[in-house]
Amino acid sequence: MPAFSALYIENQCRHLPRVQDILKKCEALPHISCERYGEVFNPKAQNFRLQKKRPALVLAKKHQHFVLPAPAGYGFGNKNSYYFSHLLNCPYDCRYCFLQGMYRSAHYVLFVNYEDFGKKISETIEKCGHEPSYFYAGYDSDSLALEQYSQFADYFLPFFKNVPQATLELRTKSAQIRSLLKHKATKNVIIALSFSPDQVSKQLEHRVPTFSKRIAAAKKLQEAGWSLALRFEPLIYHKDYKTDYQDLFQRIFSILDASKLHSVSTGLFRMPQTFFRNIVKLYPDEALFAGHYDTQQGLSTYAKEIETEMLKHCETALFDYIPKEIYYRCGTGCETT
Amino acid sequence: MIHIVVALIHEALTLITHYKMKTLRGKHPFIIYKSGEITLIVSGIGKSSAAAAVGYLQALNRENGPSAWLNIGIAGHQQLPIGQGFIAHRIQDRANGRTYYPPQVLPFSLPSNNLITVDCVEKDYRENSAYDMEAAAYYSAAIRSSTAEFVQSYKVVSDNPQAPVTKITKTFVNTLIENRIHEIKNLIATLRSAIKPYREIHAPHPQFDTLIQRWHFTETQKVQLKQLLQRTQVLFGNPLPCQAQTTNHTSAKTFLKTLSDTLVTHRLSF
Ligand code: SF4
Repeated sequence: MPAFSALYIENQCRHLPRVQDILKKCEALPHISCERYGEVFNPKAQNFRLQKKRPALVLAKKHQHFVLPAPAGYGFGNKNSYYFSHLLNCPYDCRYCFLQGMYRSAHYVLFVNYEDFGKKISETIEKCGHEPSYFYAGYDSDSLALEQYSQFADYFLPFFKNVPQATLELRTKSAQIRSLLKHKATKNVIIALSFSPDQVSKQLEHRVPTFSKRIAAAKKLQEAGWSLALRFEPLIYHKDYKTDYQDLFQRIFSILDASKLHSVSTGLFRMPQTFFRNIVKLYPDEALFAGHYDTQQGLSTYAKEIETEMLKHCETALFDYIPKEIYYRCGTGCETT
Repeated sequence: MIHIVVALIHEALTLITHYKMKTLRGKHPFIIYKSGEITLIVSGIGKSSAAAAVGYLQALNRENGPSAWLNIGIAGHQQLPIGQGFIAHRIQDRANGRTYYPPQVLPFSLPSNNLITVDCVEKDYRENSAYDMEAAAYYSAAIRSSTAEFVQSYKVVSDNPQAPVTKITKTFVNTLIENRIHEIKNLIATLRSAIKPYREIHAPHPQFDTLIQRWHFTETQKVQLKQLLQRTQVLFGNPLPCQAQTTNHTSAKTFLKTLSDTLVTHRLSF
């Protein structure tokens, strides 16, 4: 469980019951008041890598941009795709994660005014009329990783249950599924789980629960009727990637029922160059970034021929287990969760 | 490298003795002491003195790589007892309202508190906070050259509504710090062990200095060289892989090209 170094609390939200609950759970920590979370989160002279060792939790209220259009190519590829972020940053520490390059601080910012998010999501759904709409909750964080404090599922699962024309995707690497299992499976809520080969995970996905814990959790969810999706994003190029990804798929599909999956996706390593440069500055000793990267339209990427080769190989291996209809390539410039 | 900033010499005496510090030779506008990797500067009272002292140490250490900063001193407090030590987790400059939040991510195991930096001695203790006369200026100056996690301020309570500031003597200040030397030592040790790996990670490649003597590198090429050497070291370790041995090259340009080509063909293995 994350051991926060401190709690920062915006004065305007201290009185909220959700905040009071968290304060009680973290009584032993310093409680530091601030006016706006940006005072703590945004200053320049901060080091994400140092902070990642013991981040603080910042409790804040969001005032605008509750719901944003999903970046082109993100998610199932449908129109009316949106994302919302109740949480910035996540307790896991994946070296390829773009958050390290995007934010100056590794502190978690939890926006506690879920009711305002709910209002804006409702308005967005209404604007879509009869058309289905899609909401992604794991773009700036891991949807479930701080669940013990955020209780995100308790608010948003019942909320989406009441709007069947909308679909919610929770994206997570967590194996803590109690918060989901205590609710009845909701048809329009998809739990997207990201997996990487064991070796990649060990080297690059620090603090992420082991494959065996996560696949066991996935199986329980599937048995409880939850609709699962699998995400292989980003595909990480390395010497043994062919056998490693084949093994990974074989292990997953020997446990999960592929016919019940909502979708499966792959995504290439693509990161805005500015984020990439920031990450290299933070981790000059990281082998993942020491090799060669190309630049394609402002994104740092593997060389084109490597991308083509990897996609071809991984897709062929995947289609041994899943129908093409549930597969898509994620085409954004950023990977989280 | 740890730079300690104190306002008064009596806040420094215990530290000078404990760390066996010697006066830094030469002409300096401030009294400076040094012992190994620790430097201590006596700034004088007030914000502008503190900022100037930090600026001076920054200039002296420009070439020495990343440093940690620690402001040590006494402070008044509305509620805390005399002699209590704490780290400042929020520093406000009362004159301009600017507020800083020194990140508390290093494992200091010390109580922390709010600190308000005032321009005149605080006698009313209006808020549940500590009061000093330097921290805000010290902090805003020090974070210009260091990441905020390595810039901290530690204070010992010297006065409160029951024991007003007028009672403070030089000996009393010395005793307050002396009684907290165990905490200060731990604090310095924590900063030291955190900055060490940070400095190592950001240190230039061991061959960098030799290589820039060998051929002429433009400033841009020097930056490229630094980066390429670091990446090569991460992937191949030391010494440089054989294709990048210096004897095979005739200029900075060809050497940089070989280093870069070596990286292109490398395949990561886990
Ligand atoms: S990739 Fe996902 S799980 Fe990993 S650190 Fe980023 S948000 Fe967290």
